Amino acid sequence: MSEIETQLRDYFDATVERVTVEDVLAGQRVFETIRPVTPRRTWHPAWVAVGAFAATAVVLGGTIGLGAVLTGPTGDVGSGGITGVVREATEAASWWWLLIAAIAVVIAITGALIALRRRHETHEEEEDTMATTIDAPPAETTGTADRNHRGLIVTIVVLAVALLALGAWAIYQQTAESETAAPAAVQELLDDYSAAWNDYDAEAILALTTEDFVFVNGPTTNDQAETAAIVSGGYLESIGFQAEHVGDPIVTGDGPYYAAVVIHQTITSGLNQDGISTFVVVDTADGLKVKSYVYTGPDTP
Amino acid sequence: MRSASDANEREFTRFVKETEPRLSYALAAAYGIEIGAEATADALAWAWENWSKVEEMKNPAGYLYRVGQSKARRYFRPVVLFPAVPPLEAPGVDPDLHLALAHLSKNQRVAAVMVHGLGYTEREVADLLGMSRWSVRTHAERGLSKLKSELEVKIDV
Repeated sequence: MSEIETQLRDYFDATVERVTVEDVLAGQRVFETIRPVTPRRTWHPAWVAVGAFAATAVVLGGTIGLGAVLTGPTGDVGSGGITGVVREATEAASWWWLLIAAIAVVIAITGALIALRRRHETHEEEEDTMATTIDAPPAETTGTADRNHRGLIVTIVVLAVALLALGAWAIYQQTAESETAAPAAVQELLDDYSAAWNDYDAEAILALTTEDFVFVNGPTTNDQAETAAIVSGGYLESIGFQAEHVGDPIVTGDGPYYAAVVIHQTITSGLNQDGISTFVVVDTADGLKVKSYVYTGPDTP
Repeated sequence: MRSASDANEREFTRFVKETEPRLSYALAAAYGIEIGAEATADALAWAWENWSKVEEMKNPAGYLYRVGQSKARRYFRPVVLFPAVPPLEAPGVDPDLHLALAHLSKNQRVAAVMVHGLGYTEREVADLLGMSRWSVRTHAERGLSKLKSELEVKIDV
């Protein structure tokens, strides 16, 4: 055998089909002769599908996202308003995104089919033109068309898989949310309970607590009626008592539920004090209610 | 008008004579013999269609190589990239060379064939492939050594 370098040269000299300038110029002349008077620009269907999907997702997603930013969540911190709104917005958002993805997939597939049809029409026009100009049929149209189909099918499959994944994700989100529905309801109850104290509303306290409710503050234990009396007795209102949750409560258990949250208390004279509230929440025939409330502050013995 | 067109054709002819071999061999080495020829023809046809742009380019061969790459991707990859050659056509060629070539990476194949087989300089190949001279050298050396080990150096002394 020859040197490997020589073998490479001999192999490529023997196999490579060279292109001459005559081939190029002659090919171009034939192409100019048979080119349609107004050539139509055709897009690759796969790219049309991807472009349509992306454009729809960006436009619809952008519009909805912008709307959400401009309107924004509303609610009073401490009364539970903002967390509730954000939670609802998050639940709604997953469905919005699913809807946007579905619309984008439909538009993408429609666009791809239109592009494919237009491409076929263009090919047919070119073939007709060529058939009337020269007898030989066009050589490479079949391969290119097959490849286009392959690309289109792959794109549609990818988009369909993406849609299925989004659907699965949305269902998973929904399931996860329903699994955590009780803690969310507990949080809502605690927010209402806190609001009842801040509004000095004895009726709300009675409605939100069980009959055997106890409020423990250091060495003092108060039952439901005593607690309602403390809340609405006028003393708290006279000193301007207000308490806000700092952050979200930690909730554990699956009925009864145990919750703890840091609270920040203020009164008109200027006291600022943090403490920890712990709750036991039970599910009753009238819904979730607070069974016990223990406050521990810096001065608690 | 006619003379301008003739002048363009003359310039293009000169350009093709100078560029076509490098392009043909490189695209054949990269994408196989069959697709390489198609891609070269497509790239040169594109060059003629866009001649005013191409003649202004600093590295038209490199640009056309990339055009050829784009065109090559439009074709189905054949099962056999490098066909066997009948012994009478290339008597000194190892009958397994075409198989060994298919086992190299694209860059190794192009660099080894262009530099070691066809005698182009590393600079010429680097311009064509759009990579550094050192990368071309590395690819060429690795490609050649792989070929040698695969063919177990059945060389006449």
